[in-house]
Amino acid sequence: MSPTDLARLYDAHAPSLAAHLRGLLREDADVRDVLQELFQKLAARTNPLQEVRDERAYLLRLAHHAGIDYCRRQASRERAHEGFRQATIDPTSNTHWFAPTSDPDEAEFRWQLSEGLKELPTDQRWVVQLKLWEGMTFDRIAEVLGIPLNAAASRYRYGIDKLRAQLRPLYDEIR
Amino acid sequence: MSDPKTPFEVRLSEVPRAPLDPSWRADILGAAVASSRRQPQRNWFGNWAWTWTWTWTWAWSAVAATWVVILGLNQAAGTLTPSAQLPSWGPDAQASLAAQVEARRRLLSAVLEDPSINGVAAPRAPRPGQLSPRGELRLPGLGQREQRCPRVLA
Repeated sequence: MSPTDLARLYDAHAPSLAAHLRGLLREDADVRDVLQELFQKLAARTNPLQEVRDERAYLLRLAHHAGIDYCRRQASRERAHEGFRQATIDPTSNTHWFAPTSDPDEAEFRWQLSEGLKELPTDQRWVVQLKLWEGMTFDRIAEVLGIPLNAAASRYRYGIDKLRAQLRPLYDEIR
Repeated sequence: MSDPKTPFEVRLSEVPRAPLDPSWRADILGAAVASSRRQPQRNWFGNWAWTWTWTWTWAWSAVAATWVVILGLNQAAGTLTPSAQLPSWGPDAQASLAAQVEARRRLLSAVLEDPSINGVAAPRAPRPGQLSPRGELRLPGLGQREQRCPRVLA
């Protein structure tokens, strides 16, 4: 794949891929590592997107699998060295999920939203992210995550209910 | 399956996500380009073979599947034909086949020589003056012709 094509793919999709990976990995450094692995694989192929209908969904699926592989490698490495720890994100991680803002109320809302997302189960968090910020249909989400359509819909419903319960006071206050 | 979003969902989706660190772009793209350059470069034949092999993988899969079907049908048909039941062509098989041929030859000669087996008498030799099997009447006057064309009438 030519450097020009790689640059185009990066500019068009890297922010979404990174956002999806942030829902899976603990640190921004891990997100960067997985993104780099992903683009190295794309660069090694001659024409990886030749018969792809939806570039974004295809790349999100690749990133999703790459992220899971990365988590497994990390978990097995940590098991070997210092005992098992959860390889996916934890609530104390310092990953920034949303853009900074100068409005204190809005900053508080974004921070609470980040915390709410981090506390969701991983499978619900992925669906919520893809639905809300990628604007994907449940069909496409099911395809990207490799889950049944009904599972995607129900996970979204559970996830959004939890977020609503957690953010309701703040949301009502700043609305 | 696209349900209308509630105001809460719309509000959440409007929160902009954190931008990527600008330094990542150069690092990631640089590493990707460098790793692709480390890949072994193929010559024109390698490119051609690679293209033929991997561009039409579905076509090659179809060819392979067709061959599997043909071999399967051939195998199934082979078990039904008598030729597939012949023993393998080794020394034992040759001896067995020779014994079978000899036994059939003996049976055939016994059938032909013994009229009581099939009830048909052996053909008798024609007596002088009678019609030959081909309907020729042998008369004394024809002796000259026999002498003129001995080879034909012999």
